[in-house]
Amino acid sequence: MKRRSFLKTAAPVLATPLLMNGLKLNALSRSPVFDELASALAVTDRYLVLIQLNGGNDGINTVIPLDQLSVYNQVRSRIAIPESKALKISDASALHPAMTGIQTMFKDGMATLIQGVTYPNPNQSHFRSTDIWMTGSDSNQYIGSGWAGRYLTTEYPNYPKGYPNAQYPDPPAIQIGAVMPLALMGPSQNMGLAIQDPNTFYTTMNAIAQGNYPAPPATKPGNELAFIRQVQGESKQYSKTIKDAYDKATNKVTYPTAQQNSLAVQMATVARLIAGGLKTRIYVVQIGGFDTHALQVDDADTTTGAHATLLGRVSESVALFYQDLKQLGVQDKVLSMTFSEFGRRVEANGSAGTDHGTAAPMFVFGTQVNPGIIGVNPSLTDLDNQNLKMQHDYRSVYFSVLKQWFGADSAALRTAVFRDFPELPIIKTSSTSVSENDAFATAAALSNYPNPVANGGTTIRYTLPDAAEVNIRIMDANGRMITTLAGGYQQAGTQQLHFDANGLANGMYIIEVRAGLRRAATTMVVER
Amino acid sequence: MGALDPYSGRWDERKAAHLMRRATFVTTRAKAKELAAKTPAQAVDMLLTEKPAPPAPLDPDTNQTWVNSTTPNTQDFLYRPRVKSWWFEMMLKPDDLNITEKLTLCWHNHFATESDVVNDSRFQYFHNQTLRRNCMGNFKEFVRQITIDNGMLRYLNGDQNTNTRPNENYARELQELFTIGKGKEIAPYDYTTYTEDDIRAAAKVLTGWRTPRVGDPSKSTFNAAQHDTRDKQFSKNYGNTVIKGRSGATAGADELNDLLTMIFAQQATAKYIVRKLYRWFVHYEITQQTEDTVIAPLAAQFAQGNYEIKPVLRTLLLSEHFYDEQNIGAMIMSPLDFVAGFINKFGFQLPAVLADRYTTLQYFATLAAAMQQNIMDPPSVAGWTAYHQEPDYYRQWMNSATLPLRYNLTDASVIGGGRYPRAFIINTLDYCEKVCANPSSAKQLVNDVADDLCTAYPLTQDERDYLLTNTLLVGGATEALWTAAWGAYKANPTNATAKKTVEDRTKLLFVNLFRLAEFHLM
Repeated sequence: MKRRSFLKTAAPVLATPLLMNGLKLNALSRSPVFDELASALAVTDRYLVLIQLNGGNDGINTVIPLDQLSVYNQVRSRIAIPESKALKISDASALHPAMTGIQTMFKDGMATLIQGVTYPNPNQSHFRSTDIWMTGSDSNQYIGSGWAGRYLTTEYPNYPKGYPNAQYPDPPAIQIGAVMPLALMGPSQNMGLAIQDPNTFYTTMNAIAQGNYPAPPATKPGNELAFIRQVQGESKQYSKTIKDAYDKATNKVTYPTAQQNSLAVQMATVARLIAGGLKTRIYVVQIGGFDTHALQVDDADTTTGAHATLLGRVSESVALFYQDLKQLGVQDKVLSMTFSEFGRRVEANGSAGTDHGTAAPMFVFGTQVNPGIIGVNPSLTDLDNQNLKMQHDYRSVYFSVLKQWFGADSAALRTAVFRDFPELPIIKTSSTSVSENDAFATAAALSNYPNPVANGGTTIRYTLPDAAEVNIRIMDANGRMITTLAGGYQQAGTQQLHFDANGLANGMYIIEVRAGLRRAATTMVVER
Repeated sequence: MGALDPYSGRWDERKAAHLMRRATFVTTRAKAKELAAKTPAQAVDMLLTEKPAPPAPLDPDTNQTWVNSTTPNTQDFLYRPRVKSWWFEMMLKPDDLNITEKLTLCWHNHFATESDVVNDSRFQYFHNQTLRRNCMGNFKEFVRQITIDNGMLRYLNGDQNTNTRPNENYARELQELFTIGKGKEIAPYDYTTYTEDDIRAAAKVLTGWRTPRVGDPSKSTFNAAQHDTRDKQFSKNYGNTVIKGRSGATAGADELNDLLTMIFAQQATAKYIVRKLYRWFVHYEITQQTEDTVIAPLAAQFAQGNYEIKPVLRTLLLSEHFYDEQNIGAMIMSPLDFVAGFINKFGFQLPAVLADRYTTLQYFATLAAAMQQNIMDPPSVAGWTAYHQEPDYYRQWMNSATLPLRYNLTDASVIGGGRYPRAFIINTLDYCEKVCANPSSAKQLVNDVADDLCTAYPLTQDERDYLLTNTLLVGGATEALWTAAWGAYKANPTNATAKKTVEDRTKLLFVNLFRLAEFHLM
């Protein structure tokens, strides 16, 4: 839907104000109007962790199709997981026995899985398919930037020029590891920092004490020298904000060592950074070894072996991570998502392993997910060239997560994944709320009339449940502040003030009223 | 004395090294001294010598080249990084005092294509050969070859441009970016140098060229049936030129010649290209004075010399202006300058086995890509923004994401780490002895290593003092103590403790020096 046409149809609806952050949203079904409106307000205190499973995870032994056990046991006789050992998460599906931690998260309503995710005409090269997942491209399309990086350019315009600054003191994205993944590449710029760990990055920038020297002369070479020194200073600033956040929080659970589980150690770092207040939006963590062509199970016991070890590490890491986040008080702010370049062939090969395949399940974790299973077990018999058929395009998952979790608007979504994809119910609709206390008590708390505004102005009216310090801001559709209106300490009851919209260009704006800890917002359309 | 007059000042290592840094990827002092021993003219003429075309890249699985295959690869994406490695390896010649590699990269930035879009490693390879074959030749002929180069035809949809369905993509970039340049919009759709209608007319001239689906990948074909045979009318900006419509097998080539003759008759073309060369070799800032005293006369030489590239480069690289101290060290190294220059500086040997060599080359090319310069995949048809985007230009290479990547590389070269190849770790003690006649003097060692590594912008005394105190003499050691420690090491080089004492401190010196802003200037 084009924004212009939305505004026309939406205007009458807006006469009844919507509370962006109140329980009222629970009552609303997910509708285009609601989504557009919700996304007009950037949701910034939310973080996304991408967990990359390198090598191509065997989805069929990760989520065992209990409804097709005879076929399963036949085509995978040497590597099949016994039904009795599999961890049921529904009548038809069970997790690999090593995934006890994730099974518990399903029980606790903190996990969802999306079945059969791939893309049309899947490529079975690790290199190529990883690029496709990272860039968000079609199978035959080559793109130099990543889906997450492109999305972040909409939140951090012109990055890195002018960053870090007071409003954005922290890097947009962080990869825990040495090499920046393509997913975080913007159209012209890496949107993240690759850091092994905050201390190492801090050390990289600071361990070598560098002297402070007098400013170079204002010659052409001197000016360039001064510029590089300035960048050195800014980089040190990032390294310090990251380290400060890291030092501010400590992990509340004990994670295994890097030798035991390298993924867990990366996630422990992410937990500390988020709990420490870093505003970095996207993190990438990785675990390799999923290319299980041979001996993915032990012959003596198919529930053990290489694949079991890997899934056990993933499960342990995610479970510990969310236990940690809960104790750190930030579990509601963090969504995590697994992905792998492809799944594996339905039929096992002759080496107790599996060859490259196509579709596979993706897991999404967090307190705000719609718990359960999206889609059905893939058919093991209705195949496409010996491989599972696609149920969901991987970009549907990206699209839905960006929209529902970050509140990305349609322009940002198109920047990230180029076009619209079917939306999947990954995040609870109510989760756009912060908490009941943060919002005004009644639906009639905030309105403005006339709306749309033609010439002249509009009268903003709001009702305070109790006396409070009031702040009123007008923002554009991207959440950038246009102006602040007179507020001050006000008594309980209905208040109103006139706003002159003559200086504003046509378009949608947001009126936000903060009263103490409470907050309400509505939209205003200027149309002349 | 004119800015373009031949440089008549003192010709020494500093000036020769400046020439070397700007014209090549060579970074050793030995080679700078070699140039300094010549006259400036001899040095420049040596750099401007044509090299024979390099042999084609090989497939490490077969040890044969695939580039002449008459059909595309089914798994072509595997071959594209190999073409990149093949090119990148040519930059890693520590003794190659020749301008070809820098100039080929310059033209790649100018006639930019992206391997992702070209979508055929054979075309990617032959496109690069077109760039290097013409790099110091005749620019007009260069543009003619580029126009019908398969890589470019594919990249800017020239191969979809037909009489019934014209595609203006190439016709636009040919004028806007490749030759005459876009001027101010003085009237609607009139960009001073050309108009929107000129783009349409040029597109018609260029109809009918095709990339071969099957056949010799080094040549495009011309399909006369898809060529627009009507006359093409150009605007007053081109003197109302009419290009006579033709038919038959040579129609495309003939009309292309007419089109280029028309474009190259304009003064703006020479100036536009000379500015591009200036920003590549000298500095991004072009003041009015530079425009008047450097760009304009050089453009006049270019046009009068029938657009021969080499004489213009010769004038520029020999000029007073080029050796002005204001221009020495005033360029921030691009990632390729930095990575290739770094490897060349220390003379690291690439693995002999081809597959391993590609792995190593790809590792370093990927580092440069992470630092934002991915050869054969610039960000757009306009090339890397560092060479055209005001006001930051070269400064765009440096930011808080890319600077730590440079540090990671230089740190790893001293202390190892991650996937950094072990064969590329610097033996700091050997290097100290190579560049310093008396390493037992801490002061002299700091000075000699600093002057070897930071050649473009010499360190101040403050910085040298800081390095001395905080590296070789770290922890409050005295110079006498360093002399004794060095002596102990030399007396017994196999004694691990004696070696470690001096080695750790020299490592600290190198790590520190690599991080100085001066090390990133050229």
